[in-house]
Amino acid sequence: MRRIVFVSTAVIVGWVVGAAAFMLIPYSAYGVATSTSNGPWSTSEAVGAAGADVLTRAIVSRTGLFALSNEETLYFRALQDSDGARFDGACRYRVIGDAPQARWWSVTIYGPDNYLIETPENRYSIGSNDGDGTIDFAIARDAEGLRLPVTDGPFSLTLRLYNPAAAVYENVATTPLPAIIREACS
Amino acid sequence: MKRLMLWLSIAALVTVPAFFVTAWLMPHVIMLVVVAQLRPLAGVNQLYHAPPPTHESFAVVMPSPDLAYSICIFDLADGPVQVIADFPEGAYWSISAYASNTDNFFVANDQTSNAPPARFVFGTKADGDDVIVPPSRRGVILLRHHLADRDAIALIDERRKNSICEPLDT
Repeated sequence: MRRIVFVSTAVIVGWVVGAAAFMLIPYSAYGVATSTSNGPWSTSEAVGAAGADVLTRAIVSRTGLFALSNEETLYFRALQDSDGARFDGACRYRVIGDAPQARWWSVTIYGPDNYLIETPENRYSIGSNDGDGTIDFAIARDAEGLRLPVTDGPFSLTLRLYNPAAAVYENVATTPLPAIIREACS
Repeated sequence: MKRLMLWLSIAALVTVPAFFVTAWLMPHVIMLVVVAQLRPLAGVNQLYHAPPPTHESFAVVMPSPDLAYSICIFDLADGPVQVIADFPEGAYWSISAYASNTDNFFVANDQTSNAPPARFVFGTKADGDDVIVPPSRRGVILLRHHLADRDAIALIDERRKNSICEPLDT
């Protein structure tokens, strides 16, 4: 009897620790499951795909359920600016670069819970309809011109490229993507 | 001390498989939870036209505010299911289907499909050559239409209300 208790408690504790270790992976661990970085952006070619490994599928199901496979859309996610500093809603950022080579694109801002952020303007994204072949907008609580509003605290950005050009697929790590420059913090 | 080391060794041996089993189960559990949340809105083998996502949209993480979503929870228990996607022409739309483990096993868009209304049938291999065969009996089908301007939803609604998700034999 003592032996059964001895083994079963070890198994139960081990199982709980293993399950908890997975459950406690922070959303930021998305980076673990990504395979390609491009400046501040990272993406996984396995997102949504049947060939995705167990860990990628599990993390994507938590952070990007119902993502399209990369044959249709490439998702680039950024958790930090171009200098590697984590995003902070108390700062003002400028997102600048050439428009990605895709049928259409958009940059969406999400809160730390991966849902859209409530702001007075309730503007959640900026996309190809807002530009003229280039990307140039601010992420800030207040700013002149084209702006994605933000609130205090951490946030993330997702750049979606719908039907990207073949050149993007061939050079995911080097295809031109917008830089994210931190300009000032309050 | 020896007993403690043995106990810790057994626990450590179990930890690794527990980690990966949890990771394997996670997509299935999340799919079940999301489908349960959507069910009052979408029903099974019925299409639900969701309003454009806002900060009050919590059904699915990281919704795209640039898309109008229509959702169908499919179940092939009673045979094939057909989807007819009807949207205004001239803008991006797509149909994508997800298995019970969240894999996106099928996607087509306005450039790879017939002009709307475009028809798609999901079933088994026995249902014909043109049928899309999901890897699981149940899953979710999403219709997406690009929302270039959030005011465009009225125009999209006018067309997408003609879209259908239903058992083929109805």
